[in-house]
Amino acid sequence: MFRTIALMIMAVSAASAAIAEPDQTFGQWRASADATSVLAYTQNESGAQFGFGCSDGRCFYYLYTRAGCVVDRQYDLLLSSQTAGDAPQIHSAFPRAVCGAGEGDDADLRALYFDGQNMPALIAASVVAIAIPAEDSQFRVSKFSLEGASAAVTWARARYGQTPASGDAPQ
Amino acid sequence: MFGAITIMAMAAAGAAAAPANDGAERWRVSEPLAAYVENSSGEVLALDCIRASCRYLLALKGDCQEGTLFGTIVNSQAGETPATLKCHTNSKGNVLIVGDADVGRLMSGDHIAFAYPQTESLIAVARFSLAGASEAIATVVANAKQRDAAAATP
Repeated sequence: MFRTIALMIMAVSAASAAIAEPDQTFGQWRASADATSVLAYTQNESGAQFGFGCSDGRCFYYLYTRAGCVVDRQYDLLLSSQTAGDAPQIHSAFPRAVCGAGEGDDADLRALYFDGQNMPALIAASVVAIAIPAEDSQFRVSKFSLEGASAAVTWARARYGQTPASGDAPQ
Repeated sequence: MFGAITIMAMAAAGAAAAPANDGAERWRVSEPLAAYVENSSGEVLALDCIRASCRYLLALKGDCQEGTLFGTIVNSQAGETPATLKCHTNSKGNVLIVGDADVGRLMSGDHIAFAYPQTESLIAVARFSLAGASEAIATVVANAKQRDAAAATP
């Protein structure tokens, strides 16, 4: 299943045509679908992707990055976002992610997959920061826009035939 | 603010036992039952065995309210783990009590780092040297065991 999504991520990353005409655009997020999978994602200035995907009956969030992780190893991530307004609120999540190999020619690309616990509140903000523990006791931190994220994820769920109540967690 | 207050509190508790500060980021035994390291940002990581059981404390930049819980990811060359930080305030200021994790298992290698949610940059990282940590921690833990043994002796 992760390979299916990894191939799909690679398609939207590498094929500018796929990005130029996504199925839908929601703010800084885009959403695509094929016969068996859906993907909602955004890309930051460094080329890293943060997104949501469903395939083979399972849905999850992912981070596609060159930040480096060991394939098949699990990592504890920190996601933190802040709502705007007079009383800004910090939302955070600590998902355990699985590192998967990227697809294609770029051997440095990795995908970190994790479930969606606490994510609806977290992505209803303007920006998210994601920290990945690195081997040298440092953290690699990536930031992504969340403008359009909720709408894009809702679209992807609906397109996949999944309601929010059915949950995100991989089985 | 956290750093200054905690250093002050530790100095007040055991300044005479602390070695002279030579500027290096190195763990110090500040009194028989406490050891700490301060990083270049003025943040402090300490092992406190003054109470019945030893616990790790953090003094970070910023403020917090008594009882507030934060999540954190702790990372060192020995591995990583999620943990909680509980804000404790007293007359000397605020400290964060590290809980729900075996931080001691991660106290090896060159450095240990804590990533935590923060309003300004969304995620902040506090990183500390582990130079001298094993000796300082062993000393404090041994002192705590001696204290406990003495207390148990009728």
